[in-house]
Amino acid sequence: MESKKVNSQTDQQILAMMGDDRTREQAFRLLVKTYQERLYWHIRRMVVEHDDANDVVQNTFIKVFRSIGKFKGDSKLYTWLYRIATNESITFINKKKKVVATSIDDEDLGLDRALKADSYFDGDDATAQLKAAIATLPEKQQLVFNMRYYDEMSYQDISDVLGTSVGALKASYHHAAKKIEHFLKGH
Amino acid sequence: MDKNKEHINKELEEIAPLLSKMKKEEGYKIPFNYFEKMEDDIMSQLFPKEETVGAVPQTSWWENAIQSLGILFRPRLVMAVASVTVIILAGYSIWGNIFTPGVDCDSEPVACITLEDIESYIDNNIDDFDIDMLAESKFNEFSEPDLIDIDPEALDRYIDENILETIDLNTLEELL
Repeated sequence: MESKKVNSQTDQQILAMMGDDRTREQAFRLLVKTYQERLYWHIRRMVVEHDDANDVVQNTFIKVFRSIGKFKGDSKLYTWLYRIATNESITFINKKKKVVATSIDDEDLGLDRALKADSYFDGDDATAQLKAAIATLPEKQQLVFNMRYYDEMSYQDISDVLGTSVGALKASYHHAAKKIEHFLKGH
Repeated sequence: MDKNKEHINKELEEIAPLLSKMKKEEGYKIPFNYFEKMEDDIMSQLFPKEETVGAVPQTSWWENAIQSLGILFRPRLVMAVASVTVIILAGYSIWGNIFTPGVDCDSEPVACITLEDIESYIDNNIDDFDIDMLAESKFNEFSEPDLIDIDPEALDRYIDENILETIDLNTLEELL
């Protein structure tokens, strides 16, 4: 799994360039280049399908562009980006749930088999099972688990994204990991 | 391995030993060159280039001014302006001659234009005038006494000479 580490100097450079009309386009291109992969994978884990992830990531960057003037620098740039991506993904999932009149249980039971049949999935059986196990978790636990397990984010950064206390996040991750372990042992 | 990553792995080993031993992979595929293309897609949405389809071509202020003035040179508009000018001049000359009989024609030549001069001008330049406007002005020209004074024999003669010889038989039948 590719994980790009971005130093704060890059963020400072992006924000400084965004403030100048002459370098704004260049700055935003640098922002997209720097964070597109991380945001895409964060979104993809939530919405699962590539086409959906593509739509959501594009909407996320457009929203980022429109509201970057409101970013005060109280948190890291990437946690602010994650927050927007998370909100966009949740909005998308909720809309899709209303359109697709299938129960969550039906989706979860078939997810590992559906993933194996998906042309955009090339993981092995164990990976498909892990994805199916994650899908059984409540939405918030999925988010916490994915950010800690895949993105290797600190609890403080996850707290900045979700607005939840560090203690509550530790408990949430603990429960999520236990449930997944139980699911994997049972299959 | 950095401290944060080491801490995360250790934490997971304690909570879920089976999960911690699994290879960490996404499993999802993406289209070829997806991220290279995504960057350009997003940038083109936010910063559309001028040469994109539907863009309005840039014109200079001079070209815009010429284009705006072009409306003044449309043939129909020129005709209308010319006709109105002639009528105003005619009115001015008639009323001007009545109310200012002692005017000096050398210093104010427009005031000395007579009705005959105007009719002669219109006859000589009949092609330059708007047909509807001429028809209207001719209609207004005839007063009721003019129509009453027409000699019936002269009218029959005019009809024989100018209408009956040229009219189509079918049209004549329809009129009768």
